[in-house]
Amino acid sequence: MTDQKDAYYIRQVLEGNVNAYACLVEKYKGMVFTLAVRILKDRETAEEVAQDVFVKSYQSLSGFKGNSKFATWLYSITYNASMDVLKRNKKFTASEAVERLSDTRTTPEENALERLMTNDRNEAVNAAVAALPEEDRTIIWLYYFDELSLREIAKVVNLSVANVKIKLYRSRKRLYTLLEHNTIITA
Amino acid sequence: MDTAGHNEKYIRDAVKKAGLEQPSLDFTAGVMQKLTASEKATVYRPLIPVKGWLVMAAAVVIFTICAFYFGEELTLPVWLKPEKISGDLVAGFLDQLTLSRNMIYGILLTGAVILLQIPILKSRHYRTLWRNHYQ
Repeated sequence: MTDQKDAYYIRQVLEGNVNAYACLVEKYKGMVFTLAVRILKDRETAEEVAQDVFVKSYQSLSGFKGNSKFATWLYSITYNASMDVLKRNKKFTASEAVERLSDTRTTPEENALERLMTNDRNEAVNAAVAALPEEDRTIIWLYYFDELSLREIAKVVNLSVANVKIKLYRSRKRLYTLLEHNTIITA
Repeated sequence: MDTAGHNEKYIRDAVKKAGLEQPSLDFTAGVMQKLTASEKATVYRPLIPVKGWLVMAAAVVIFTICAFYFGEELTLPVWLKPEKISGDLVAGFLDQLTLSRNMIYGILLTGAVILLQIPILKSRHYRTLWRNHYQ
C-alpha cells in the first residue's frame, strides 16, 4: 500500500498543486536514478531517463491506484523506460563468460572471496553484478538493496513471481561462480 | 556458515554498501521545468469541434423531421437544383434523384451510429492506451 505521506503529496498534485510533486521527486530521485544507472551503465543517459520517468509518472498520476507502493510503480516505469533505451540503442549485455561459467562447480577451498579484503570483495561483487544481463541485474539490485518482496519485483520487471524466483536463483548461482573464479574482476 | 551462506552475505553487504547514486544538483528543478513546459505546450484541439458536432446533429434532426412530415419521397430542395450548381451531365442526374423512405432511414441510422460511437471508441482507446503504457 502507498505510504501515507506519499498519498498526501499525490492528492495535492491531483488537486492542482504542481509544486507538491517536487517533494516526491526529491524523495525518490536517488532510487530512480540508481536503478537507471544500474541498467544503462551511463550516468548521463540515466539522468535523462530518470527525468523522463518523473515527467511520465506526473502525467499518469491519476492512473496510479495506490494498491502498491509508489516506489514500486516508479521502479516499474524506470525499468521499462531504461529497457526501451537499451532496445533503441541495441546495447544489451552479452557476457559469454557469464554463460560459460554458470554451470561450473567449485569446491569450498577454491572460494576466492574469502581471501579478499572487504573493500576488494565489495568491488568484486559489484563488478560481477554489473556483468549480469540487465534483467538479472535489476532483480539482484531490487532484492538485495531495496529488499523488495518477490511479488513487488515481479510487478517491476513484468514477470510472474515463479519466474522471478527462478531468475534470482540462477543469478545468485552465476554470481557465486563468477566471484569464485574471479575472472570477471580482472578482465 | 557454509560457503553459500557466506557468499549470500557478501553479495548483500556489497550491494548495500554500493548505496544510492545521486543525480545532478539541479535534477528536481529540471523535472519541474519540463513539467511546466509540457503543460504549456500541450494544447489538444479536437478533430471535429463542438460546433461541428452540433451542426451535424441539427442536420440529422431536421432531416428526420422532413422525412416524417413531408411525404414518402423527398426530392432535392430548390436551392440545390442542378441548374443552380453545375453543368448538363450532373444536372440531368440530380434532377431525377429521389430518395425512398428506407434510404432516408438508413442514412439517419448511419449518422446516429457515427455520432454515438466515435466518442465511446475514443474514450475506450484513451483508457487502453494509458493502461498499457503506464501500468
